[in-house]
Amino acid sequence: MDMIRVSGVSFRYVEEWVLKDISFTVKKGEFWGVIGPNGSGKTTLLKSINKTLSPKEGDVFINGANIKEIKRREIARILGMVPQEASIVFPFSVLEVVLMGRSPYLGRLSFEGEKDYAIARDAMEMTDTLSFATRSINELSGGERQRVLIARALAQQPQVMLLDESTAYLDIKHQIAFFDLIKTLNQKEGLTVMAVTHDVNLASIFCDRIMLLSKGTVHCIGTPEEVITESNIKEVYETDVLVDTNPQTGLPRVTLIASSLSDKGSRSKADAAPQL
Amino acid sequence: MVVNLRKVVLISLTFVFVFVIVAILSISLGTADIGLIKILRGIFGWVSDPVHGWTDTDRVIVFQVRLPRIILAGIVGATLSVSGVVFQAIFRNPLADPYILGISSGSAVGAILAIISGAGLSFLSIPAASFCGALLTIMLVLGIARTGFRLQTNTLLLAGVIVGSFFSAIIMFLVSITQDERLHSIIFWLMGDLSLSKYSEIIIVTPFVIVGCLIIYLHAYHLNLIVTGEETALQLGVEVERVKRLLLITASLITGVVVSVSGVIGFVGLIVPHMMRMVFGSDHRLLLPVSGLFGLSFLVVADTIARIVIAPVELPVGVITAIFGAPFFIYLLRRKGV
Repeated sequence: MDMIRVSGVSFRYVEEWVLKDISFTVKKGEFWGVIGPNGSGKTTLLKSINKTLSPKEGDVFINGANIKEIKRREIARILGMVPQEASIVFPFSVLEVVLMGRSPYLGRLSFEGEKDYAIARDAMEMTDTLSFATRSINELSGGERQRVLIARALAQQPQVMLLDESTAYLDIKHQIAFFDLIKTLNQKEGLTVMAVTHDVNLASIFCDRIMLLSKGTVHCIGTPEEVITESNIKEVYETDVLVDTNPQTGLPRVTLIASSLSDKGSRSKADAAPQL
Repeated sequence: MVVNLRKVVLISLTFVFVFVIVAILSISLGTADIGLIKILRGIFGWVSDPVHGWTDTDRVIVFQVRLPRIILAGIVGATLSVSGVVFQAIFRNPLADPYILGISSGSAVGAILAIISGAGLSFLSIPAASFCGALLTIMLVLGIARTGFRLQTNTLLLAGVIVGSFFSAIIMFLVSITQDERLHSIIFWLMGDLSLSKYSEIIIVTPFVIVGCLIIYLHAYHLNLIVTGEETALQLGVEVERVKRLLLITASLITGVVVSVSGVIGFVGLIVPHMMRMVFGSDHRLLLPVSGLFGLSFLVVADTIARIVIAPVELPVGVITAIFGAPFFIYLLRRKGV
C-alpha cells in the first residue's frame, strides 16, 4: 500500500527552486533514508510532505488522499516529525511537552485523560526521559531536550515518522538507541519512517531504501548497496570517500578521506613496506 | 505541574474569592470614611435590616463613585492581563505587552485630539475617538506587516514599533502646542486614569471584553503549541496563521476598548502574566484565566492606592502601576536574564 506519494513536487522560498519536480512513492512499513549535501532540499522535502510548506507545483498524497484536502489535525495523527532542534522559551515541564504530542487527539477545550498520560509515559520510557519528567524543558541539555522531542513525536502515535536530522546533537549511545527504537517500531508495528540524515553510515545500517538528493532533484533511489557507492557520493557530494563493507551487517560503509592527511598516510605505508 | 479541569476551576474560584474581598476592602477605603463594618452590614443584613445604618451620602459614594470605579478597574486589569498573555505567546517573547503593536500611542492620539478640540466635554467622545485611534493603528500595523498571505511575527513587531513611534511624535507635537488646563487632562489620560468611571462605560465595554476573552480562551491550547514554535504547532495540527491573526486582532481590539475608557495604564499587561507564569506554569488553559482574574484584583488594588495614598488628591493609576511595576520588571530581568 502506498503510504506517501510525492508527485512532481517543486518548491521555492523566493526565487531559486529548492525542489525540482520530485516524484517517489513510499510504501507502508518502509524505512527510507534521505541523504544529500547541504542545500540539496532534504528538509524542504520533509516539510512539503507534512504540509508545513505548500509545494508551488505538484501534489503529495498520504494514504491516497491529497494533503491539500486533509485538515492539519488529521495529518498530525498520521505524520509525526522530530525536528533537528527546538528552542522553547517558556518554562513548560518535560511531561507537558510530551503531552503536546496528544494534541491532534484532544477536543478544543478538553484536557488530557488517563489514556493520554499512559501513552506519554510509554513514550518517555522508550526515550529514557521519564527520570526528568517534572523538570523544565529549558533546563535540559541539548541531547536531553532532543529526546523529549522524540518522545513527543512518539506520543503522537503516527503511522509515519519524519526525522529531520533528529539525532545530529545526540551522543553515539543515544543515537544508536534512537535508531534501534525506531527500527523496532518499524519492524514490529509497521511504522513507516523517512529519515533525513547527514550520517550516511547510519542510513546504510537502518534504511531499506535510500534517496540521494542533489540540488533539489533526485539523484537516485535504491537499496543502500545501490545508492552508497564511491561514484554516487563523488558525483553528488563532490568529495572522495572509501566505500567498503560493514563487518557487522555486510552493508556499505563509508570512510571519509581527509586530503590534508592523505600524503602522510601513503608515506607511512611506504615506510612500512621495506620492513616486510 | 500538569493542568486539568478541576485545577483550573478551583484556582479560578479562589481568585474570584480574592477579588470579592479586595473589592469589599476597596469600597470601604477612601477620603469619605464609610467603614468596613457598615459595608458588611450592608451586604449581609440586606434582607433582615433594610436600613442598616446607611446615609444617602454613603449610598452615593458607594454606588455612584466607588463601585463603578472598582468594576471598571477590574475589567481593565483583567483585559490588559489576558491580552498581555496573548501577545507574549504569539511573539514568543515574555517581554511583549498589550501595547507592543503601538495601540497605546494610536489611541492616545485619538483621545488627545478629542480633548484639544473640546469635544471631550460631551458624553463618551474621548473613548470613541480613542477607540478609533486604536482601530486605525491595528489596521495600519497589520497592513504593513502583511507579506503575501502570511503574517511574519518579526515584521509585525517592527511595524508596531514604527507606527508606535510615529504616533508618539504626533502626541509630543500635540502636547507641546497645548497650554491651558487641557494639558492636565492629556497627562492624566496618558498615565491612565480611572477617576471618572461611569456605569455607561462599563455597559459598553463589558460585552466586547467577554466575547474577546471567550474567543481567546477557545484557543488556549493552541497558544501552548504556538509558544513552542510555529512550525511545531503546524505539525501538531494547528492552523497557525488563522489562529495567530484571529487572536492578534481580538487581543488588540479588547485592548483598544479598555484603553479608550481608562487611558494608557502601563505594566499590568506585562507583569501580571509574568507573575502568574512563575507561579502556575505556562499552560495557557490555566494561565489565561488566572491572569485575567488576578488582573482584576491587581488593578483594583493599584487604583485604591492611587485614590488614598495622598488623599484627598488622587493620582493617575498608571503612576502606581509604574512605580511598583518598573522595579519588579528590573528584578525579573536580573533574575532570569530574559
